[in-house]
Amino acid sequence: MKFFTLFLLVLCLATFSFAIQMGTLSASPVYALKGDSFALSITLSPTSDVKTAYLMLYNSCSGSTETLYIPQIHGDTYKWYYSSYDSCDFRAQVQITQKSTNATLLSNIATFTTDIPAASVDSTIVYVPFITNSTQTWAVNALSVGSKALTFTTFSSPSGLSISPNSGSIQPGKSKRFEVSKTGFLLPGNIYVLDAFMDTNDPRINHSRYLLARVIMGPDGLVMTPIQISNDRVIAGSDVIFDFSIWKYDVTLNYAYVVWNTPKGSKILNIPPDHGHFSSSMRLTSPGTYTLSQVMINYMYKGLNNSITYYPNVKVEAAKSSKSMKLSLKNGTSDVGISLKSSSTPTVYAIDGTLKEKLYIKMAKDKNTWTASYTYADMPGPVTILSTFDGTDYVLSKSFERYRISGAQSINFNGGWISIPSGTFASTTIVSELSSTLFSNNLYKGFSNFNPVSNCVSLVSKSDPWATITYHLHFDTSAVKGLFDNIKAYKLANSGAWEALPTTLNIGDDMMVTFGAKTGTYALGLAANVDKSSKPTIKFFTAIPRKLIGSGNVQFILTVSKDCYYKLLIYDMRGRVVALQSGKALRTLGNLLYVLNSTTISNGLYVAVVAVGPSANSITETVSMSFAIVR
Amino acid sequence: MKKMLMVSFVFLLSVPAFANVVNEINDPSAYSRAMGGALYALYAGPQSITYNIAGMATGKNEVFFSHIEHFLGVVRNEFLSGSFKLNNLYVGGAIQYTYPVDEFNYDQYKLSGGIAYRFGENSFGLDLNTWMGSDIKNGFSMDFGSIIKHENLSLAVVVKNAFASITWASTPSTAQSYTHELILGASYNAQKYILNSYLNVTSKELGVGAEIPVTSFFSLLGGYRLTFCKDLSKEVSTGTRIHYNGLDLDVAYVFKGSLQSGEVINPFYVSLTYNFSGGN
Repeated sequence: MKFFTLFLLVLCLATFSFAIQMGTLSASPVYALKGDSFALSITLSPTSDVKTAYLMLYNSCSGSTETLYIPQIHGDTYKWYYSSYDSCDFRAQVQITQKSTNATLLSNIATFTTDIPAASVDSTIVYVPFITNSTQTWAVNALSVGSKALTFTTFSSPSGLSISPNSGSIQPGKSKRFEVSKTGFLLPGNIYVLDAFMDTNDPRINHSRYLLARVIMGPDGLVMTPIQISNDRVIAGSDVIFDFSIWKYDVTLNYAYVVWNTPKGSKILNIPPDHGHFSSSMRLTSPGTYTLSQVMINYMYKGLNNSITYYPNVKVEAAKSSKSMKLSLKNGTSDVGISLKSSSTPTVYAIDGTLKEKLYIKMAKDKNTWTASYTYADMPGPVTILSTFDGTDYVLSKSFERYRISGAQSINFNGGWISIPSGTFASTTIVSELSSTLFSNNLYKGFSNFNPVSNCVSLVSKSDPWATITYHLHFDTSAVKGLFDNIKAYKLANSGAWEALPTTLNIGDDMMVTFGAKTGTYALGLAANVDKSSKPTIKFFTAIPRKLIGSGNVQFILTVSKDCYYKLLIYDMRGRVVALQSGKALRTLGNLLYVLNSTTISNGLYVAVVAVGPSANSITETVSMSFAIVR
Repeated sequence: MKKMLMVSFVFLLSVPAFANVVNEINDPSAYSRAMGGALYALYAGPQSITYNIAGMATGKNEVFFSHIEHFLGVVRNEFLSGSFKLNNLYVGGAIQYTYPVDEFNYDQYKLSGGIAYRFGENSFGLDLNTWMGSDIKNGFSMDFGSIIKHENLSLAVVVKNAFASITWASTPSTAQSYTHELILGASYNAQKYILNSYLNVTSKELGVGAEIPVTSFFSLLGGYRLTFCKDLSKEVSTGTRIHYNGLDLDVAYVFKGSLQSGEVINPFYVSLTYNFSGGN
């Protein structure tokens, strides 16, 4: 028995050792158009025992059989290529002759066909700003390139497109015109991608679904040109002008602002839209790097407000220097006075609005002060006076803006805006606006009469206005110190002295003063002999929590009627000061004055006393409140 | 003298600057407040229980009550005490109730009982204190005091809140221990005026005061007090004492100067003291 089993095992091994292992014959692709190439492959091993390998093809159209004798051999893979110029079904089989036994072996039968329905679509991709796409229709042709009728259905993904026809068939050799149009209502401001698809009976791999049209709708109807900036290396204290344009159609620009990242934090500038062209200036007061990081544009389209934010990332470097420049507009003229302090000789130019070329300005010298006057053109746009110096590639620049006034107009500037009502001037005229900072060493006379709390703004024109112009100026709350009732508007008189305006001021909650005046130079200030009777009052004062159980913090919250100074003292029951804090409280809800850590003091009852006043050492109201620590 | 001052200074420095003393109203008497809190070296009857228990030994049976409007009236304090003479031994007791009045739910009681023994012009005593309240489960401390008088000069040494511990109704309950306080007092009676002073070495409080008798019924009081903690707190005080038929009526005004403003803040304390004694 054992001998018999061993005999069978040896017999089986001998059989496996000499038989050719034949894989499955396959066609790739199975479906193709006539003229396309098919590959028919099979694996045979060992190849050393293959004497001959032929591929036999049966053509169902002609009823004939042809034989392909020469395969391409890669390893143990035998491959035959075949192309048909008929639309037929085919059957294929491999015949092998074995070397060792001279036996003939046959493979399985593989089938493939060129008799299929098939489509050819010239897909289209359209990029459509939403502001122009509402009535457009796009046409796409699909051709039936197979030998059988092509059936189809169409759909939109996501919905939002209408496709006609949405189903049907196309006979071989015929084409069909599809019309794609937008039916969905899309909110402006976003980018939408809508696809029109056609599902077919095309059996080829990845050919059952065709893209007819891809419609990309977005807000790019508001195209912003690259930002141009007057200088990227300036001396601190300079103005840099930046401008850009917006291409728009059928939308209303509401407002725009830019965000500058300055060495002292972010600064937001509102910039006036002027027929799609935006131009504004930024004063670089401190040394360091300034980055124009964002431009936000708010617009209205079909009654809907929306915004677009761009990130231009424009950098300007401001260097520290003792050089300074001051401009002064002269009312009733088109002249600007230039005063420049520098120990080295400056070369001064003007860039006058759309006159991009530099206009050389001759300066007169008096010790380290250089002066000149420049007559600017009567055209809207910015004027930049810039100076270069020997030995440095930094420039010092100051700028002002001109507007063509033909009706009501609002002029925005750094620190406020000016509202010019219609009919202010007898006819269309050019006005110029310059905002500047008043320093203690300024050139004006009479400066000591008041302490400036706002930027100084000049609005000049050749002709006198007929109506009163409204000035809106922001003031510095830290300079006002809560003495809101003592803010006055000052005008620079022709004599060079500052005079307080008798007009009534309107002091708003947004730290802005509004007053009416005509053209001239104005600033807000506090009189030197300011009346300190303006008393901030305490509206609300509390500790959170009033009773702290367990370890933790007690927060002290204060609400005051106006900006003021405060002093917080926390007493224990012995009258000892266990904590104190002083500082400024703003006219907002909930100034967090102090956070008391309970672990620093004993348990028990305490009293917090807060005092407020218009100055650090002037207290006008005091409120006390008890609280407890129970650790 | 210089050496003594130096030793005292070094001793002051050795005490932690932010000593963890019991947070209580430790100066409830208008008589004391008017004199900068310098009551420790005086024989002042039952009000002395909360200052120096030895000062209880006045030779009279007395009852004392005071009312304080603290911190602009935000916190009130009621204090009632009595002392009774048994030969040279004096027995006294006191209750103190502290509570805020600005709709804040918190109150604190302190019960005290003690004895004092007087020999000649000198005395010493001790008392026991316990606390209760809305957030206090229990509390305990001991006070020791002495007065040594030599001619017109009186000196006092007081140890307050020894072994002090209060268990608070926190989550979970926590027992907080407190530092005992060393208080030194001095008083000089020049007949036409009485000068008083005290120094709480531990909590860094000191005060000086004077009483000037104008008539046998009426005295003027004045004082100055400093407390050191996170900030220096200065107090100027003034007051009057009306003495009539065994009744002492003391009124004190205390102006806190920490806010450095005297015009609007009105940092005043008013306390009213009634002293019912058995004799004149």
